[in-house]
Amino acid sequence: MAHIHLPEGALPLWAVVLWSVLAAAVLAFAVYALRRDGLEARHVALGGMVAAASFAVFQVNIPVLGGVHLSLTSLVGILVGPALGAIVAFVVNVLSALLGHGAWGFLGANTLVGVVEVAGGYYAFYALRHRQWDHFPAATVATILGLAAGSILMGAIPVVSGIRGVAIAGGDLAVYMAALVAVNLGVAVVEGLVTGSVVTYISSIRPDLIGEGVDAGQTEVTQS
Amino acid sequence: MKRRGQYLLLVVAIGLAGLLSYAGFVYTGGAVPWGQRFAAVMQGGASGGGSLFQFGRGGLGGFLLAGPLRDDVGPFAVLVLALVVVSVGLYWWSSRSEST
Repeated sequence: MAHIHLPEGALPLWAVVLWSVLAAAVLAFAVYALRRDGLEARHVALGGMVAAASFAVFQVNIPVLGGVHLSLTSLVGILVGPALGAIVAFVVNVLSALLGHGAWGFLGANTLVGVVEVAGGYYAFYALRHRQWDHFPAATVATILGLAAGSILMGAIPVVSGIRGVAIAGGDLAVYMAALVAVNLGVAVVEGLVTGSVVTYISSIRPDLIGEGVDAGQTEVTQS
Repeated sequence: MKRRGQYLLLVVAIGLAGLLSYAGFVYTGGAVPWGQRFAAVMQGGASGGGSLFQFGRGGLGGFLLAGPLRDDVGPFAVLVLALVVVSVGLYWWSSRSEST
C-alpha cells in the first residue's frame, strides 16, 4: 500500500546505496531464517499465490482518495509469515518496477516499507490472537497498525534522504510527509477491512493456513 | 478481551484513521492520484478538495490499472498468469507428494 512514487534519480546516490544495503540485509536475514526453520514446498506455493494476488492488486488503482492502490502486504504476512513475506514484498516490488510502476532507485526503500507492513501485520495479528481476539477485528486492526508503520517509514525515507530537485526540505518536508502518511491511514482502513474479511473467510474453510503454532488461534471468543 | 471491546476498539481505530486521512487528503491536494499527490508534496504541496470517491472517473466503476500499464496490459497479465500457474502447480505437486 505505502509506496514511494517518485521518479528515477530523485534519491541521492548515497541514499540509494543505504536503503538498498539495508533491504539486502533484511532479505538475507529472511533467507537465513527460512533455511534455519525449514521451508515446505506447500509453503513456497502459498507464497507464490499471495505474491500473485499482491502483485495483481498492487496494479489496480481504486477510486478512493483521488486514486490509490492496495497491496495486501499484511495479508501476506499473516498467511506466510514475516520471512517468506519479506521475499514476497521484494518480488512484488521488482515485478512492479519491471512494468514501470515504481523506480528502480527506490527498490530498496520500497522493499523495506513492504517488509515493515508484512512484519507489522503478522506480529500485531498474532499478538491480538493471543489476547483471544476474533479473526476479523484482529486482522483488521493488525493491518491498520502494520500499514501505519509502513507509511511512517515511507514518509521518513524522503525526509532522511533528502530529495533532489524539490522545493522544500527538512522540517517543511516532514510536515508534508506527515500529511501524506495521514492520507495513507484511510487506505489502511480499506485494506484492513479487505484483509479482515479474507482472513475470516480463510479461517472458516482452511483454518490450518491461519494461526499455525498459535495456541490462541484455536479458539474463538464467543462471549459478548 | 470481550467481543464488544474488540469491535469498539476497531471502530475507534477506523474513525481516527478516517479523520486523519481526510485532513491529509485536503492538505496534500485533494482528489488527485497518488503519484501526482507525492509530486505535489515534494514541491511544497497544494490543498484541494474534491470527492473522496470517484466511481465515475472511467474504467470499471472507477477501478483502473496503474498508469504505466494502461497502454499495454499484456506483460502484466502474463506475469500474474505465470505466478498463478507456477504456484498452483507447485501446490498441486506438493499435495500429491505428501499423499503418496
